[in-house]
Amino acid sequence: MFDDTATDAAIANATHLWNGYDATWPPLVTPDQTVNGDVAKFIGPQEAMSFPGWSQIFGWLPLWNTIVLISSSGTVHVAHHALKEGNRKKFVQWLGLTVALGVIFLFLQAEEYVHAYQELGLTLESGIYGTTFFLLTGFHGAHVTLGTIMLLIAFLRGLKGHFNEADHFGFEAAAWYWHFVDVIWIGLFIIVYVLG
Amino acid sequence: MSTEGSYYVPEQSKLPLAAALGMGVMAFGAGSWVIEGGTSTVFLIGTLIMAMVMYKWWSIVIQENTQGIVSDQLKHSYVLGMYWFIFSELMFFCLLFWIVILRQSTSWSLDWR
Repeated sequence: MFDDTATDAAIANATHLWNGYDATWPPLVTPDQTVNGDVAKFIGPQEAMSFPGWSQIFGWLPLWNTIVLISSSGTVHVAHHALKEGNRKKFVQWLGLTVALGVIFLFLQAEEYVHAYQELGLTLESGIYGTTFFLLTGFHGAHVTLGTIMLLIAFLRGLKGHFNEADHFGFEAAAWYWHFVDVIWIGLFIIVYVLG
Repeated sequence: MSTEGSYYVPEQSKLPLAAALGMGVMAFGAGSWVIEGGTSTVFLIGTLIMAMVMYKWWSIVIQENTQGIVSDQLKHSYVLGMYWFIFSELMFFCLLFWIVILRQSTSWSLDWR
């Protein structure tokens, strides 16, 4: 189909970056597979964050994170409705609550990382599982951080009375973004924590 | 700031350039931070650049809004901009999910050729 003969530059790169790395398409061989072979697929932490069983369900941090984030999507929706009805006081209160829930989520996520590193041995070095776990949750966390900042700005503007019933896209855009972050978390919760 | 009919043409801005620089420094800094023995200095410099860009950018947009110079056409462009921004973010996460689903599947050696 296409010419996959390695160029000189590609060979030089491979030598410098990952010696012995076999470049294939699609690029499904990870650098640690070149070191550890097929074993790399199965290298993982001693314990993961996955579903701990029904008896320990209330101690399962990812579940609490899910509850916090879904609630915050609800509170931002209430705030939006309050604003559309022209009730600015209610708008600011519910938006403030949303920002607080966002901060709580980030705090719990930081707690989870500490737990993963210190107690589970789940680190960036623990194989493909470790890298994908932190890649996904890290990128999601970065998005929650940005979403929280956007909602915080909308909150401060709300306090200053910048928004009215008809003109409030600055807030609405942040709310859309927040719902998006919530939807991604649900996908992440199912794929990484429930099925993972 | 100039107005051509009802079409809003904003002033030239160096903020996107500064944002790109800040994001680049942040990404590089984050990478070198998580490598064994790395430090967070470069990441924090990137964060500082981004914080300054965001402060300035938000100030300008809020000023435009409170001065009432935002036309309907510009408002519509904000809505469309947000649609496509969130769509691209969605695609980004689809990619990450795809990686995980591949990892969870029994074999990595999907031969697509």
